[in-house]
Amino acid sequence: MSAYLVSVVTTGAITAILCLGVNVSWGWVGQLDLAFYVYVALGAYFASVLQLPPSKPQSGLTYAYILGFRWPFPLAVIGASVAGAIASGIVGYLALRRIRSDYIAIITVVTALMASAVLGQDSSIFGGQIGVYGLTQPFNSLLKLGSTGFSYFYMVLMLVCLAAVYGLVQLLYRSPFGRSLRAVREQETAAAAFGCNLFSLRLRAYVVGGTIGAFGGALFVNYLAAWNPSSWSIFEVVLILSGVVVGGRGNALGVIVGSALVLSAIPELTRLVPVFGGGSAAGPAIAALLSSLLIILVLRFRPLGLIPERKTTVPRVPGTGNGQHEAGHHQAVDEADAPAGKAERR
Amino acid sequence: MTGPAGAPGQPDAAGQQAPGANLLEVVDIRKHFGGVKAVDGCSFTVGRGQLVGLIGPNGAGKSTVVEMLSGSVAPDSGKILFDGQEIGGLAPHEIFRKGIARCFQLAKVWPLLTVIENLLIAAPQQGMDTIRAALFRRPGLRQQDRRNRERALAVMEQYGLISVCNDYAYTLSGGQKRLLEFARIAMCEPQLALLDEPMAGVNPVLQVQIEKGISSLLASGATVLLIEHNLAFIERLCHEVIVMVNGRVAAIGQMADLRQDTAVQSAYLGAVNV
Repeated sequence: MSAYLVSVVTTGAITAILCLGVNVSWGWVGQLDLAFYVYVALGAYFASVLQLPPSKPQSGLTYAYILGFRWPFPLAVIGASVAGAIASGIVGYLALRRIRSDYIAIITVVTALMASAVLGQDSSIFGGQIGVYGLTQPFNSLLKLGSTGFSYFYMVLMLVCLAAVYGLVQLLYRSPFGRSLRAVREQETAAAAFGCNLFSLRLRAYVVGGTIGAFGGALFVNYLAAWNPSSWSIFEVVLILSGVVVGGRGNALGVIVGSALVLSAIPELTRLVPVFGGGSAAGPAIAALLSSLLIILVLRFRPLGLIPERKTTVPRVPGTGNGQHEAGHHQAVDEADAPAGKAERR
Repeated sequence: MTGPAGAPGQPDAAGQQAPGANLLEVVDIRKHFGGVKAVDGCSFTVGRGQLVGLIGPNGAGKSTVVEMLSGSVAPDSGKILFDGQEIGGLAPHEIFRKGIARCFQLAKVWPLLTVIENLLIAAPQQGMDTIRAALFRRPGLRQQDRRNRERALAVMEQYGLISVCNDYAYTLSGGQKRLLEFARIAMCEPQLALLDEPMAGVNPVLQVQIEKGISSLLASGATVLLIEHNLAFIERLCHEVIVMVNGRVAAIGQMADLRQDTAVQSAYLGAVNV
């Protein structure tokens, strides 16, 4: 496997983790979180400043960052994830007190813009526009691998992390907690009337998503070795949401596939487009066009995504086919209650 | 979720409440939407283990009363006492946990959850719907989960839903969705069931099933407050009937007596073919 492919798989695994994070609050509960990349950035920043040595004042520069604890990689990743949990808990507490989804979108977009402005302009928290840099390769002081060997090692580590996050979200999704979240998404008035605490459930889902985002950010910065405001913007979250839409909201496997398509395959394949018209921006422009086209086609022909959310069947239920028959076999369907994608297909 | 009260006419397990004592007491509740006085000083009581009908012309405020009793809408003023405790203004999930469950005027199921999942949401959770419980499933919770599944199967059998138990709820017919709502209420074993026009748009065969469902709820010890325009049905089943007109209680009594009440006749009964 070439170094290029190793790089694509590594970043693909990390972006898939991010997509799984945003899928918890958006795919499971239906709350549009435009601040998601703030938690990714916070995870990256906190992982950096927890691993780096204390910042030293430099003559003529007002550059500094907080903490500087020289923590080892695993502790720093945990610390960064906790930071993401706390930050998403605070934002979620403010945004989710009112239940309307447009209210959530407004609060989260304002949060993203504020965080971007503050962390970009204040050079004493995370180094301002310069950001944080100088991270060493995790575990490599022990492993002493060469550049290529470390790339392989980190790729495998990221795939293991992706598998762990996938296992975690599947466990949550299939649990009574996940079931309650889906009930809130499907019909919140009935969910509340049958004992679901809407605010508490939404907040917990939001924090789980934010924590996974920060975890992904911590892994990302250890791959990039640096992080600054140009690494994150509100546009990034749109790309991640696109991956979720294409793959299938709510379905973890679909989300990974969508992430691989929208965030890895299309951008990488369009790099092969030859430079023409006197500009080198043809590849990214075509990637953006193809991604947009893919989203439109998916929304038109497979509105629930390439791999839609699957039924969670209850095991060992006798005499019913145990959930093997597909949705749609019952002829008498009330259009009003059908989810949008299903109704359109009929 | 509180367990069921004792069967009608019988003392409950704890023996703390005398049979027939009021389970629900509504005192002078009001709800105005802008200039519209949807409920304007409504007071009534519902005895434990009774099936009480709530009737009246459209716009009388019946559904708003149910919305207030279930916590979907907070009353502007007045008191709602359930089992002696004030519940007015509590959130819907808090009211549910006190033992009040409801069905909606238009059936509200969770379409992308299967039928059995629809029932399991209504089952006693006892801390199962937490992240910690999902990650570290203690034996007690596993047993509760198993009990809930067994109960869900029994309830689906009772309501004729067993053959569709693992189908998405959105694939059910309108009548099946109504049955699913009843099964959901049966699943949570409420002390008080609020039923908002359960017969609306339902065919005669299904009406019989729903009537059986209501009888079954009563037999399990639940108290039922029923909004319904089918007066023959109300007369056949209800112990007592409350007539609402213009946001207020116009009369309370047996249906046979209410038919003779001229005020009730002019406000409601005279307008319908009974």
